[in-house]
Order: sequence, then C-alpha cells, then structure tokens
Amino acid sequence: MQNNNSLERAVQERFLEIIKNQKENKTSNSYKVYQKLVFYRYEEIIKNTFVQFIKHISAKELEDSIYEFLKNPPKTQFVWKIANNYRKFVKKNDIFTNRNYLYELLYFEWIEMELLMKEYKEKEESNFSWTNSYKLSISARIKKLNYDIIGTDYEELRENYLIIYFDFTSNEVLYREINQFIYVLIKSLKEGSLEEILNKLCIENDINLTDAKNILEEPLKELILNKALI
Amino acid sequence: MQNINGCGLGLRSDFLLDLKYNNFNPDFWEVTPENWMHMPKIFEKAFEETVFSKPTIAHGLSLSIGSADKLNKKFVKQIKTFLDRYEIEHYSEHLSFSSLNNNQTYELLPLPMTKKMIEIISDRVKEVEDIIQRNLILENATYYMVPYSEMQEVDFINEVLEKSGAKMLLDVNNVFVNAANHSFKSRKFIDQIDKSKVAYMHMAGHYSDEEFNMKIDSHGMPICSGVWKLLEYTLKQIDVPVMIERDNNIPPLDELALEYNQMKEIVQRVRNAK
Repeated sequence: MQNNNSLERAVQERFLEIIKNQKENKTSNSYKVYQKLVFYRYEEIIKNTFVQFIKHISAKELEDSIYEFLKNPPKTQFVWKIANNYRKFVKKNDIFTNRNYLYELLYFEWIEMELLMKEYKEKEESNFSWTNSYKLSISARIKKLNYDIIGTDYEELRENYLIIYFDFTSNEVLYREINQFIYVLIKSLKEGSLEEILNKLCIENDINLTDAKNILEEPLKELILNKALI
Repeated sequence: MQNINGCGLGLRSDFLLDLKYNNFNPDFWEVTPENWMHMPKIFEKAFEETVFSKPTIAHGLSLSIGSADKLNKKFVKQIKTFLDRYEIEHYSEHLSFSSLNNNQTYELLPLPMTKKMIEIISDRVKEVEDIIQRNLILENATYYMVPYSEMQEVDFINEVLEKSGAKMLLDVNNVFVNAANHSFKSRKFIDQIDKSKVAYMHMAGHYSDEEFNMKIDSHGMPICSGVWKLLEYTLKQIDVPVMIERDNNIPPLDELALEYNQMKEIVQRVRNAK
C-alpha cells in the first residue's frame, strides 16, 4: 500500500512531523493553527485529569512537558486515555527530576479516572468468611506509595499503602490508607482462602492468628461490602 | 435517512443528567462513540434511556478515514459493537485524517486533494462498511490550509462520494468557515455539492481568531447570523434532517433549546414556503 500512495503518505507524514515537533519548527501561520489546536486538545485532557498535579508545576513546565510528549503521540483513539500516556511518558523520561512525588500524584489521579471510566457488571457483594477465597476486584487497586500523596504535604517522604476503589453507592472513586499487613494480605489473595493466607503471614511475622483475625475482620468485611474484594 | 427526521442535537455529558428535569426534546440525537464507549457509571442509565428514547446517529472522531495507513480494523470493530449495542443505524465521520502510523493527533487534519487520495478513501470506506454493516456518512471538514491539491474541495468531495458510495454529512458552518478562510463563495459551494448524496446537516458556532486572521471552527459559540442565513439558503435546495453540534463552552440546556428552536423555525419556514 505504501508504494501506491507515496505522495499522499509523504504529505501526511510531513504534516504530522510539523505537529509533533512544533516547538522547533518555524512554520507558516496555517500550520501554527493546527499546532495550537493539537496542543490545546492534549492540554485540556491533562489539566482536567491531573487537577492536583498541575498545581505543583509551573505553567511553563506543563507547556514544555506537553511539547515533549507531543513528539511521542499516543496510539489510543480515546482522548481521555491521553492522560495515562502522558503520565507514563513523563515518568519514563524523568521530566520532573528530583520530584518523584509528582509521579505518584500522577498515578493516583490517573487511577481515579481509570476506575471512574471502567464499565462494571452488576454483581452482588460476596459474603464474608475466613474460609472463602477472594480476589481484588477490577474496581479496585492497591498501591504502595513513598510520598504522602493523600496528606497535605505531597513532598514529604512517608511510606504508605492505599486501596483505591470505585464505590457503587456513591458512584465515586474512594481511597483509604491500609497498613502494610493488609496490603501484603491483599497481594497474596490468590494463594488460598483468607484464613490460609493470614495464617501464613502470621507465622512469617510471629503474630497470633486469633489476634490478627480480630483486628482484620471488620476492615476486610468493609472492603468486601464495597466490592473492592470479591 | 431511515428513522431520522426533523431537527437534532449532539448529546453531551454536560447536560445528559439534566434532561429528565427539562422538557427539551429534540427529534433526534447525535452521539460521539469515542466519548461514550467508556463513561462514568453515573451516566450509563441516562445515556441508555436517552439514545433508546429517540432515533440516534453516531458521529465519530477517530476513524481517520483519509489516513494513508492500513485501516485500524480493531477500532472499527469496537465502533460496530457500540452501534449494535445501542441499535444505532447511522454512522458518520469526517473527511480528514487524524492519525498516521497509529500516532493520534485527535484533530481533524486536512487531506491532500488528489485522485489517489479519493481512491484510498473509497477503498477504506468499503472496508469500514464491510465491518460495520452500515453505510458510512462523510462530513466536509474545516481546513486551515491545503497541504497539496489537484482540485477544488467541492470536486474532491463529490468525487469521493461518487467513488466510495458514501453519503454526505453537510456541515453548513464548515462551508461558511472554509469559504471565509479560503476566499470562495459559500453559496456556490452549496450549489455545486451533489445534493442527492446529502444525508443530514450540521450547524455549529465558530470564532474569529485575530492572531491567525482566520475563522476557527470551535463549536464553542452560538451560531452566527451568516451561518443561519447559509442554512436557510441550503434548505431551499436540500431538505434533510439538520442538527446542532456544541462541544465547548456548553451553555445550560434552556439556552441550547433556544438555538434549537431557532433552527426548527427556519426549517419550518423554508418547508412552508416550498
């Protein structure tokens, strides 16, 4: 196909190159219109998705990062997914050097969007039982963070663990901080029943199983009630 | 167009949830598949109720029918799934390209207007139609430059429609904007377009950009008097469904309803005068 439409392909490739490398090119007014339109399209999505993130960088930093991002355009046809591509791009290229908390903030805000936009089949919540096996729902994510993203000072180093989930009652994405023990427990859910996994973790950490059950039962029940664990 | 009559409006999430509290009731809706294939759960029920309550047209953004690439069949199959799911019979797209080598720009970029481009588009239209099992409708897009041309826009469009068998979505605002930006007569363009191919029409707003000294098709302003007049002129020749697209600075539903009613009055007036 390429051989038969070489002129058309060449014209389109040139056009794309001018848009992708817009900062470097001295182009005519007409190209500039397209450069601006494409830039604004990306900027709008990034600003709307990363509401907190953009408060922590300057307007120039945002602009420059989008110019760089434009050189590596996303493959997705869905505009709202641009945000995830941007998130991955700035992290991979370490655009915000020495500010790793920004990458965690981007993750947090992206997951919120992703869980909001997912289509969920209606499911009844599972009943709680220590002998049941559970898994993390597609409506939930767990994440270990190194910065206090859910606190007031994002820049503060503080190891913390989150479960982020879609709440089917309020139709909102909610999060809660969990302790490291529950985090590891949820990560290990595939390995057996709740009791089996908990028993294993208790042995590894020299914790009394009954005590652990008493402490964990209510939070786990709530996660199951909220369909974060199914 | 089967089931599509009268006047319509582009359905937007900005006012979807307000519809049940409002008496506004257009004759048909138009939806953008890419914006509704994934949606927050809070919209799901209202979206389904709305599209099943009235005839609905799907109007896509990311097909990139004029791209010199191979067709992205996976994406077209996703479109078909969407159309089937919501029982939508009509699917329109833009006569432009928005991606190349699978790099997306999310903007409608101008095509080289060549004989070969017409062939490429015609082949791709047939590929799309084979997958979606529906006819494709193509819209005359705005363009702020012509990257390469062997012919006039109107001849390019007529030939694409002829060769591909696609129907046309005639965007009246785009004709107005293109005519102003490229110094041709909008009414002459309307006179020359193959009227037998026009399936339905778009109306929208634009703004004048001082920096570029151009009119920009923004869908973010009320429709201006020049575009209303051009619609009236067009309706005298082409009696097809017509609708409003508003994508930016979306006003409250009551305000949109006023513009919709203005359009409805014009359509009625022209029909009564015939």
